Amino acid sequence: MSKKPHSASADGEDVLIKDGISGFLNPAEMFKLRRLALLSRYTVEGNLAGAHRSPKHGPSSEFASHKPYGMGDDPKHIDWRVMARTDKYYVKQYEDETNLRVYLALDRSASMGYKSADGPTKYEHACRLAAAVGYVVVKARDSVGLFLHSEKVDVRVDASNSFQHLNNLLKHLQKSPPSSGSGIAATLHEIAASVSRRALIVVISDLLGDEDEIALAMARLRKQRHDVIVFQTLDPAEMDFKLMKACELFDLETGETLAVDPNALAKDYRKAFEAFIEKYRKSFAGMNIDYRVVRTDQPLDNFVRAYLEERRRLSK
Amino acid sequence: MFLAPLFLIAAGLGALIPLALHFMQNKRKVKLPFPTLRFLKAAQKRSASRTRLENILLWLIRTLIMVLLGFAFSMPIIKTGGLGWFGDAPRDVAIILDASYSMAYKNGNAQIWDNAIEAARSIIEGLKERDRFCIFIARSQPEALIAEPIGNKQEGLARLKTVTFGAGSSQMAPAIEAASQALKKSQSGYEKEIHVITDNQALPWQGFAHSKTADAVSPESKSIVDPGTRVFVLMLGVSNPENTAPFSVTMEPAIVRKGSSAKIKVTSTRTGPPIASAMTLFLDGKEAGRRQVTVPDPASSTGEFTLPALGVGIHEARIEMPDDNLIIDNSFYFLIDVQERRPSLIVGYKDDALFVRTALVSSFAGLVSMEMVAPDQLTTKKLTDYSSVILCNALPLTGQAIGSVEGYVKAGGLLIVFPGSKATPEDYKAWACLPGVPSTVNLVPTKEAKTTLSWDKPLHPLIRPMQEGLGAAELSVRRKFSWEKVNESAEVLISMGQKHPFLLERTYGSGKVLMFGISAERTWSNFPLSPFFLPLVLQCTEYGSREKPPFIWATDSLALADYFPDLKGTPSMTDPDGKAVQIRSMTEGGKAALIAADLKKPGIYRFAVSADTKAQPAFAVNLPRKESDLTPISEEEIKSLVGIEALHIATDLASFAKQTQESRVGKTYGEQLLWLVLLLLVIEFIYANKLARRGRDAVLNLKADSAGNLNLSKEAVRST
Repeated sequence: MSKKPHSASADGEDVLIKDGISGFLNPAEMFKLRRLALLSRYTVEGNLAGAHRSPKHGPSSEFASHKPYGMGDDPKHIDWRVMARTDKYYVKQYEDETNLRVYLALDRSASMGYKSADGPTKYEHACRLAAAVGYVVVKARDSVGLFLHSEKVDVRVDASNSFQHLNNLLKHLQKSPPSSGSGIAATLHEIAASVSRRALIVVISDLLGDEDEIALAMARLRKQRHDVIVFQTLDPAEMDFKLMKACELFDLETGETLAVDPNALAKDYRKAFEAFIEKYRKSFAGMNIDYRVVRTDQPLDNFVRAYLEERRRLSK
Repeated sequence: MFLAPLFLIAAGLGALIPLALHFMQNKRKVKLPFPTLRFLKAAQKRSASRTRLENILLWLIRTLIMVLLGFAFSMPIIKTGGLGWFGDAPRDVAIILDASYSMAYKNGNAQIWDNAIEAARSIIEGLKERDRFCIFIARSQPEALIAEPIGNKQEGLARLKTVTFGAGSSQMAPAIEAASQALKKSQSGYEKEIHVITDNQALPWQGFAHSKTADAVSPESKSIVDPGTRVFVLMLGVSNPENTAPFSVTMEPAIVRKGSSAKIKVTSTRTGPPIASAMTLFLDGKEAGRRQVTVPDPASSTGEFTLPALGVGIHEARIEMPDDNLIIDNSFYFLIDVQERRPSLIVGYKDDALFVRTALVSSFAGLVSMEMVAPDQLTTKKLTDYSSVILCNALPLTGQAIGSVEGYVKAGGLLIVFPGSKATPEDYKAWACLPGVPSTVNLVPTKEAKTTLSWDKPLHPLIRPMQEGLGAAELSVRRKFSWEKVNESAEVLISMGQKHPFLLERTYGSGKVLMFGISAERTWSNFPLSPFFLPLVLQCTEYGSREKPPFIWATDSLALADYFPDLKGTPSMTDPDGKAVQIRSMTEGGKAALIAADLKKPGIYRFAVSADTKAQPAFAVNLPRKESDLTPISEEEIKSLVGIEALHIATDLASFAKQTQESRVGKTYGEQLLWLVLLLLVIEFIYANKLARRGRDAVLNLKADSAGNLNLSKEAVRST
């Protein structure tokens, strides 16, 4: 019995992986990611037993506190040594360990559809990043959910810890190309409203919205004691602005056009862009939010591996 | 004015090209997607004014380039002269060819003269159908090869072939004046041009300096060319010429006697930096000595040679210096006439000539022989047998005797005149060769009898040898001449008291006349008894006894009687190359004279009195050494000397032709504009590159590590 579901599961997994994750990660990348874990820096409220600290008392071996014995308490939990000293009945309480619920908040706004040269679009890169994170999470038997949004939350998938679930989740990504318009701040508020229990929210977006509003939405997530990670996905061309010839650029979100001479503007553009990044960095650092810039020309497996290693090191 | 005005349209259209390109570029711009324009708008807002300024500047430069390019191709010209709009008016051209012997200077493989002829040929061949030309050869006096403008080029070229450079110097002032005179006959509507072809020598232009000095009162009042005449000078010489040449030869003593030795001093001249050189003396074709000299160092540029004892006769001699670029003046020819000792002839009666005769016989026996003849017997003597003729109170003489004596002097003899009491002032007036004519014989009061002789010309060859040791010479004079007039060409060698002439000298023909102011008698003064009487008399007899100079300068003609007074019949004469020299007979002052023509070739000329006699050396002819000074003249100096407003100077034929063309048509600025375009292109390239590089070189200060951690530069952090 145990072999069949496993094999069936294994078979099923194989089939599912080929259909879902294999569209984003190749076996070599998955191999590299197999022993990694995404840890939360704070206590989380899961629905299953797991490896993450929970705010509730549970059956773990880690002593938490004593409480007076009451109706319904199992007598076997009475601490007899305390009763001998105090002549009162106290029950031992232990920390609860739960699983991690990770929600991937993926931006599919029009600007995410940008790509330069032969590289992937920011959206494609973001999907691969989401797949990698999801793979790591599910592999650690934690749950992963999805909020795919543009101006609003377009797709919501609740957290679950099976590869099948991950595969289904990723299929949503494949089906939903970048759309027009962007409303990151609003969707983050929407996510905050819908996820009440403490979870890990992984925001993958280019954050090309109003910085202050986005920061406000992030603050709300943190206020609800969610652990938040922000992966700002950017294309090298929009960071370096190394266009060779004068051209007319049109805004992917607004459709607005602008004739530019890259040589004349490059210096000032880079200054403005640096200021934009720095504002997020300062703002997120103040909220204890992990903020990372992900370039689409950067090898993804290396990035995920380096980031998770660093996070694990800092969590100790 | 523009030579190709159609290109102005191109200039106008060209100015629109940058603008059109700008618009075309805007239209053809590639449309690209971009995530957001918010940063671009911010950047554009920040750099808009600067970018606009840069773009306007670039547009201006590019427009300027196109406009200037169009202008350059339209060949703008500024007309400076000439009658026709495009230099199509006919012209009369006077070509002046410098024919001094400095034109024989070798410049590379060819002589300057060859280049000058080629240049003249090129000028003639370049003339248009209606143009005319005349040719003048600049020598010391201008020679008209073609005196009036003609249009026949073939004739001009043919005549040009016959011209050779001369043996002397050239003067540009008279040549330009002659050319200007010839052009005055030009028809109206003809442009007038004078083309001077010369080397870089300063000498030909010195005439302008002299004429300027002469016209110093109002230098503007006289211009040798008409205001409308343009003068072009083609200077084909080298800028730093070098030339070394023997300059002159002097012999001491002047007369070389058989068995005695003499010294030859040779001076040299040099143009250019000092150089060690050598002088070689050749006697009768054989080398007789060599001296090292440094020219032009005054202390060591003179070579001294001691002559060996030579036999009686005329010996050919020449000094040679090493070959340089001007070979023609490297040799200096002269003749050494070694003579037997000849007697002096004293003309006078025994008492009158007592002191002179006694002085010559007793004191210098063996050195100077003498004969004596009474005045009325003078015509019986052949005077050329005597080295000097001394008249002692011998006047008056017959006309025949006077003519005989004057002919002797003219041919190179020496006449010494001691006056006496027999002659009246009228007797002196019959003479043409005397240095002065006395008016009266004055009796000197006893109080004023004592007088001192002073040496007016202490460096004179007659005075110099005897000056030392005599000290102050005092005389007691009882009678003396009062001079009616002293000839302009005469020199006072010794004076008595307050500048009263005591001894006068005059060169007459090839000879000399020495005339004393007092007699050689005891009744006039104590001069015959004074200690300096004997040396002075001896010095006088030796001085000027030379019959012929050792050399002559190249000349067009020479009267043979001046050198050969005893010549009878017409001799045959040959030049240094053995070619016959033309000798023609002319009547001068009622007398027939033989003139040797065209003695311009340096070297030894020979003549034979008859076909039976052997030819003997007659003259040593040398080129005038003034021309050996090749000191160059600068263009500025020529312009300041000549003072002609429309004077153009070129140093090669191409620029000469260009100047001529520019002067007629106008100066085109196409080339200069093209250079300006090139400069602007470079500026545009550098500026545009700088702007492009500024964008490329801008560095993104934002760095992220492999885990996506941001590392912002301090500058970026500060800016936020």
